[in-house]
Amino acid sequence: MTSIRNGRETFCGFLGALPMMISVEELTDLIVATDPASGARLPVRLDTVIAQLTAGGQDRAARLARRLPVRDGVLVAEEIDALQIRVHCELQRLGEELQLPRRVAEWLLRWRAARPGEPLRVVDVGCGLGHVVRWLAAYDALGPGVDLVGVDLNRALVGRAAELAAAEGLDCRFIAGDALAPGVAGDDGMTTVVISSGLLHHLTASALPEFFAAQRRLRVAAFAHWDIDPGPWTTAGAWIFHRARMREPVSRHDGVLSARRAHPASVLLAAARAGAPDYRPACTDGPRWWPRLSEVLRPVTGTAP
Amino acid sequence: MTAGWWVPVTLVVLAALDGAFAGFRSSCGRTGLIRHRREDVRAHLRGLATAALLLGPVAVLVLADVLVHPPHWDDYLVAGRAMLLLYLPFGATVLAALVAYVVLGWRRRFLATALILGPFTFARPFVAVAGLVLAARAGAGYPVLAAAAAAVLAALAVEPVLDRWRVAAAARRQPPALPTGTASPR
Ligand SMILES: C[S@@+](CC[C@H](N)C(=O)[O-])C[C@H]1O[C@@H](n2cnc3c(N)ncnc32)[C@H](O)[C@@H]1O
Repeated sequence: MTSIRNGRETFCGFLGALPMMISVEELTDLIVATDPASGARLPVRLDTVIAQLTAGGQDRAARLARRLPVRDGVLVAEEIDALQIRVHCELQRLGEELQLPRRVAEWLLRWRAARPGEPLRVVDVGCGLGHVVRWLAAYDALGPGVDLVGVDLNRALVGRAAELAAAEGLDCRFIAGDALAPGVAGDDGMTTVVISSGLLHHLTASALPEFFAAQRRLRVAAFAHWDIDPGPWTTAGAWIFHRARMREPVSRHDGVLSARRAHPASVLLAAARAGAPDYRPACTDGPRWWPRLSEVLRPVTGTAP
Repeated sequence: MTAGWWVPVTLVVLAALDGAFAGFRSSCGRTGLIRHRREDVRAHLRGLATAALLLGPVAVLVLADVLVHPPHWDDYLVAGRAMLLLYLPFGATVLAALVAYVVLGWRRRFLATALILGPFTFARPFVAVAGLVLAARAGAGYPVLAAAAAAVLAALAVEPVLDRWRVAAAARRQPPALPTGTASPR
């Protein structure tokens, strides 16, 4: 499985998702590094981050990076963790506004309706603070017999997710690791649906087929990955919304970039067909020039044959 | 002097609502908890209290000025009316969007945020300053404009003041119980 850290993609700086002019990176991807095999935290040198940003013409991001806490040239891990947690708390707010957990619940309930009573495991890949999983647990949205699991490479985020779940007495669990590595999220044969939100745009288009192939190898019953429907309206909306509502400069920067980096449905579908052809993938985008306000996040889905 | 009382009353109501919403915004996206209704209510009240604290001195000064110099009342009314020309429709649109947010089902709720609440939060400081410009163009004198500018500054300061208060409160908690910082650490 390709690690989703340090996703690199080339896009046109203007309006996004047009081909090939500059390469853009999200700060949250660059400032944390984890060894995918051991899960160990790797030191990140500030000058490496700045060089990478400067090479992509991301001067503003480089300026933001220069303000991050550094010790001996290396980003201070605890401070970066605290920053990541704050950024993801703000991100959760965006998820709330977009009614993301409800949308996920709606899809899962519809999917489950054809398999009533069957025990189910829902694995949220790259769960961050586990907003979706914790919401599903808090509102018992999927009914009994559902094992809710959040998995993220970032130990600080899943650690906080687990604390938050405990603070509210929620029945869900969190694991630090690569969700798509065999055995990480459980391999006891239980029917498993893999979901994610805001993750796909962290992957390069060339890494996407392997992302879907990994789920096929795990024999998941279905997948549903929500991400931004890209387009000029989405990018403009993301800019205004992040200016108005987000406090962290990093959130503002990455939030707008996420909209620009998001993959169109055609790319996601082609990747899903390449990686998991027998899952009958589905994903639809609205017309590019018409704002699709109620479907800013839309899923690419697939169900096992 | 009794004519036109609706102008200061409306301005105070708008400032109170604005303060409450600023308090809410300042508390959003802080803790990561799923159930935060009670905290939301507290945040609105905190915003209201902070607005009262910051705007109170301006209101007292204006009141004192009017009591000492009753003819100034009309100057304040001219400025207030001009500002309301902008603030009233702005506030009414926000309130309508909030009603829509509550009334629309969850699927369409985001429309209220995307079309009105988000962009209007973004535009709020510009609209606040534009109100001052309208007051100046309506012929309000310098002392009145100074009071209006102080009121606008105080209203715009509510959210940043609360943000700073949260950062300070988080720094006092060692280790922090929940992530509550504001600015990126330097
Ligand atoms: C932008 S965050 C999305 C967080 C969350 N889903 C949300 O909506 O708030 C993407 C997360 O995916 C995690 N991630 C990427 N690849 C992963 C993998 N293979 N397994 C587990 N986590 C992964 C990263 O560590 C990062 O925290």
